[in-house]
Parts: sequence; C-alpha cells; structure tokens
Amino acid sequence: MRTRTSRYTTLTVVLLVASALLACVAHAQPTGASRLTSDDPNNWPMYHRTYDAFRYSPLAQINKTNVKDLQVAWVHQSGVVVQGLESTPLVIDGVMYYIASNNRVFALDGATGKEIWHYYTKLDPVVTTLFFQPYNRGLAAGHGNVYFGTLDGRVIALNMKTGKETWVTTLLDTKKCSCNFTGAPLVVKDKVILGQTAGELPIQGKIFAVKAATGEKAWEFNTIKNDPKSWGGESGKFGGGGGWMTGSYDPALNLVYWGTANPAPDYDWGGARPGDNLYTSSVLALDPDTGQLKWYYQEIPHDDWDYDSGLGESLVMDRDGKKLLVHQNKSGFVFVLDRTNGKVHNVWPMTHTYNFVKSIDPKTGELIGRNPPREVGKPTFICPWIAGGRSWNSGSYSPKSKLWYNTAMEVCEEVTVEKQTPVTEPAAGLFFGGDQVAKHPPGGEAYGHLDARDPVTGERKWTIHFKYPPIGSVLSTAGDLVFHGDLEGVVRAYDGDSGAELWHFRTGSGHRGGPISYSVNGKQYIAVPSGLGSLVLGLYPALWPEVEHFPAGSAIFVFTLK
Amino acid sequence: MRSSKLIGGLTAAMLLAGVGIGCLLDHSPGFAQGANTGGAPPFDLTDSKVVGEGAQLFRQSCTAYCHGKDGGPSRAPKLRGSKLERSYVYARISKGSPNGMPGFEATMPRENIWKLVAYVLSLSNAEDK
Repeated sequence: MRTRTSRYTTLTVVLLVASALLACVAHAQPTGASRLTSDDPNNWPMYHRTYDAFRYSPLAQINKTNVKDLQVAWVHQSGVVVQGLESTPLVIDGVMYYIASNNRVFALDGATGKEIWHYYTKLDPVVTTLFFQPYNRGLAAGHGNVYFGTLDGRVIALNMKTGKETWVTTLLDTKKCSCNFTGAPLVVKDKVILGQTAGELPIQGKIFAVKAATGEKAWEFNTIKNDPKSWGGESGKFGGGGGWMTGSYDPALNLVYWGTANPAPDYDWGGARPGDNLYTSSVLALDPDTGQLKWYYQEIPHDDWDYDSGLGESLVMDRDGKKLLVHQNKSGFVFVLDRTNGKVHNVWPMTHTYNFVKSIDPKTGELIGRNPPREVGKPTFICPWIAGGRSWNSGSYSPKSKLWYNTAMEVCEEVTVEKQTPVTEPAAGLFFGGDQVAKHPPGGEAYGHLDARDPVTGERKWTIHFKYPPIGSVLSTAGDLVFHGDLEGVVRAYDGDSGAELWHFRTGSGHRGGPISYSVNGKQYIAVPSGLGSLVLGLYPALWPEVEHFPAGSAIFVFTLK
Repeated sequence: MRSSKLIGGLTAAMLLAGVGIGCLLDHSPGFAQGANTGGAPPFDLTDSKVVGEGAQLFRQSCTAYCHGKDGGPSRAPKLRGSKLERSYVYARISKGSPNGMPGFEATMPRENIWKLVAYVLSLSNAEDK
C-alpha cells in the first residue's frame, strides 16, 4: 500500500513537472514536410540532416580558432546501456529528440538538456528472442510528429510537443519472422518510409511507406524479386534482403534511394540460392508516392560475403553537370552512379585490404576475379571481414571543402561455410550458412582509419590511423571542422582541411552513434552520442581481447563554447 | 527516508548499468532463478555425437556476432573454461538475458537447446586457451 501511494505521489509530481515543462516549450513549431527541405541551419531535422545525406552542418560559430574552448554544456543519460547508444539525435526549433535502446524516446531542451517528455515503448516480449535488438539508429520528424520503427515490428508516431501517441501501425509479424525495425525512417512529403531487418533470416525483406498523418500503409516493396532466374528453386522464399538503414531523396527527380541488405543465407555453399538474387545488395530508386521501382543497381550480384548495400548512405550530389549518387557498399567499395538511371560513373575502394575480388571495374562495376568461400567445413581467408570495409556508421560530406570524411576498416576473416536448412516454424531462425572469425591482414596488423577524400574519384587528402577500427559516424561543419568519436571513448575535432587534431574529450564509453550540430538562441552546440555497443563489436575480441572489457554506456554529451 | 530512497534508486541504477555490455556478460547463476532449467536432459550430454550436433547449432546461431568461434573471446563471455552449471546454461539459452542475448525457446526445439547445452558445457569444462 505504501508503495502504491508512493507511486501515485511520484506520478503526480512527474505529471506536474511535465505540464510545466510543456508550457515552457509551447513555442516549438510542428515540422511539416516543407520544413524538411528548407534547410534551416539551426536544425538537424532528419537522420542525415538533409535529404542529400551529407551530415553537414552550415553552422560556423565554432571554428578552427575557437574549438579548443569547447566545454560540456550538458549530458543526458538514457538509462539503458545494452548495445550502447547507436542513434543520431534530431534537433528542431531548439528541442532535441533522440531514441535509445529498448525504443526509449526523449525530447530535451536543446540548450539545457532538461527533459520535456519521454516515451518508453511497451515492447512485446518477443523482442528478447530476436537477434537484432535492443538498439535503434534514429527517429524521423514531420507533420508535428516524431516517427520510429520498433523492435517488435511497429511504426509509432508521437506528437512532438507532448510525446503522446498519434498513431501506432503494425507492419511486421515479428513473432513469426523474427524481423523488426532498427533504422531511422525517412519522411518524404506525406509518407514515412522505412525498411525492415531480414538479411540473416529466411524471410523476404521489404521496404514500407505509411501515411504520415494516419499510419495507414501506403505501399510496400519486396526486395526479393519474384523471378526464378534470379532465385533458383524455392530459394527466394528464404532470400533475406530488406533495407534496414535510412535512404536519401532527390526532390527534383522525386526519387528515394534505398540500399538493400544481403541475401540469406549469408554464405552459399554452392546451390543455396542460384542466380543473381535480385534485389539484394543493391541500390534502389523508388517513387516515394507509389513505391514503384524506377531503376536499380546491384552492387554485389549473388553476394557471397554479406557485403550488403543496406548500410551505406547515398550522397546526392552534382559534379560537372552530372547528377550523381555516391553510395558506400559494405565491401569497402564506393559506387558512384548516375542517379537518373543507375548507370555506373565510377567505383573506387575506401580500403586497400580486400581479396573477395581482384578488382571492380570502375567503368562497368563488374566484380573481377571473385573469391567466394564455398568449400564446406574448410576455412577460407576473406578480406574485408563480415563487419565490412565500413559498417553502417555514416561519413560526412562538406560542400565547402568538397571532401567526404569517411571511416574504413582494414580487417580480414576466416569464413567456414556450412550447409544449413532454413527454419521458419514456429518462428524464423538465423540463416547464416557458416561462421567466421576475425584475422589480421597478410603481413600486418588490422586497423581502421578516418579519411578525407574526393567522393567521386576517391582521391585521398588526409588520413587518421586508429588501432581499433572506428564505427562512429562523422560530422562536418561550415566551421571547417570534422567531429568523430572512436572506440575507446574519445571524441575529437579535426581541421577539415589538414586532418590536424584541434580538440578532444573523453566521454568514457566508445562511439557508435552520429554526432550533430545545431543552434539555439544564436549559440551553436555539438551533440555527441556516447555509448559503446553493437553486434559487430562481438567480432573485435578475437583480434583485440581487451575490447571485451570496454565499458558500455548511453549518453548524449553536448558541447558549446565557454 | 528520502535519502534512503535516493540511495536505493542510485544503487539500482548502478546495478542496471553494470549488467549491460555485449550480448551476454552475466555469469551469475542467480539470474536463472525462476527460469526454466530444462529438467532432465533427454540424452547423455557428454555423448560426442550430441556434442557435435550442438557445435553445429552453435556455429549457426551463436557465433556470428555474439560468442567467439569455438567459445573464444567476444563481447559475449568467453565460454571456453568458464565452468558453467547445466541448469544455468539451459535457462540462459532458452530465455536469453537482459544484456541483449536472445532466448531461443521460440525458435529452437527443446532437444536442440539440450544439444547446445551439451556443446557449451564441453567448452565450459575444457581448458581455457
């Protein structure tokens, strides 16, 4: 009884405080779709900040000269450290919105960090049986709501001012498919677009659009093409794919660009999935209004290595009168496409450690000299490892310096392929078709790097070496700065032109999320999610045993000038 | 009273924070209390055929990103040489853990869970490399 009374008292206090805080933020304006294209420099209104996926802030108050004076303005703890903090916050009109593990969503005063509201998603217990959990990479905003896909297969819209549910739509039968949503949605006009996890599961992965106002499903796109030439036998029924990260958008062409995940099983022992396995490991150009496929480009036909295309951002940029799309594939290769039709413009490698092919033809995109691990029970040495030449963390392109700041991993693995029967009853089981262990590259130690490169040619201007391959996203700003956090929990600011380190701060846990910049009342802030966690971290201790003990965390550190 | 609540809350928060890194870190048998510990195994868990089938299941479901190959180091605990108890291993595999390890009872027949238990125990009782 005492406990219940105490709970009621606490609840009353929380409600009173929440009401007072809501009154304080009544100035916050709903974000309509038009505001997403207005590029207010003070805001970070979507996962990559802008539809072109640049992750570039036009704010310049913090610059090369004064960045040394950055200090902590505030810190917010999510309270759940399992799998760290993988997301990128949003900031709209001075309010920060972010999502943490277990689908915890917060709205905070961007200047002080004071909580305005929080929403802790009531998740189906099935989540504890899933492989892809409990992390989430981000929110979307628009039409007065924030949107996110849940660990149990739903899409939820919350009122931006109150944090109350506007609508909830169930899109996936998670109990059956073992699949869910972990990537940030993309709001395009009156739709909310998001893709599901599926690449390691014997299911057919899809990309969905729901109506932003009501949550009603508008369309779905099946990333497994119904074509017996592309999927021999019944393999397409178990083909995986999906589109688990966030796409980009070209308003002029009215095309959404979305990367798709790898086919299942990840490894083919020979005959597991005959054909090129469309539309897996591909970039799709979709009509956001209808979901109709306008063109596709399959970067890794019949993917034998789990080098999916779902994880890489698609930069929308023009060069010499050409409309280009620069897309990072997990193999470490960057595919530069004509974004009007998907034709190859150039292909170049972010890494130098690869043997899965001898090369990729930069004019045609053809994989030359493929080296698939096919022999059952016998380890095959493959580079890069399954974590990729780069993981799903994003680079940042500065239109000012014309450089793309991007991370890479020089790591190999031994893959042992094993025949596996897909399990779909009573629920889908993991469908890898083999396992792997990380290895150092021939003749040297594995490592990672942060590079400044021309995104179209791949020409490198500078590079920073990391012992532990970094998996945090990058931020560049008009202050000619590059911000990036490492695996050991140190966030640094670099001179965007030279790569010289200008500032650093130890947050105490490694970095997997996306740093952003925003401004409130004329003051610029740098927000850095800190909290080590990720499925790929499980691969590190085979090479670096100490990583097993690197502390987890889940906090937003916000910095500003003294 | 308020300070005791505060200390209690702080302690709980610290305990919660302490549990969570990686797919599976807590080896405390206490976590399995109240969970399904499987009863009696349907076969001899030291039978090499059973252990071999468990090893195959382990490679298919446990080593991709979570546990290390052959029970080696990972973010999830190193299983080789870990000296785990049978009932704890069964409960953990079937129910998962709050640290992110998925439970397998919904996707895996009970017999297969026991095969995994057999393999994990073989690693657990093996000499740490």
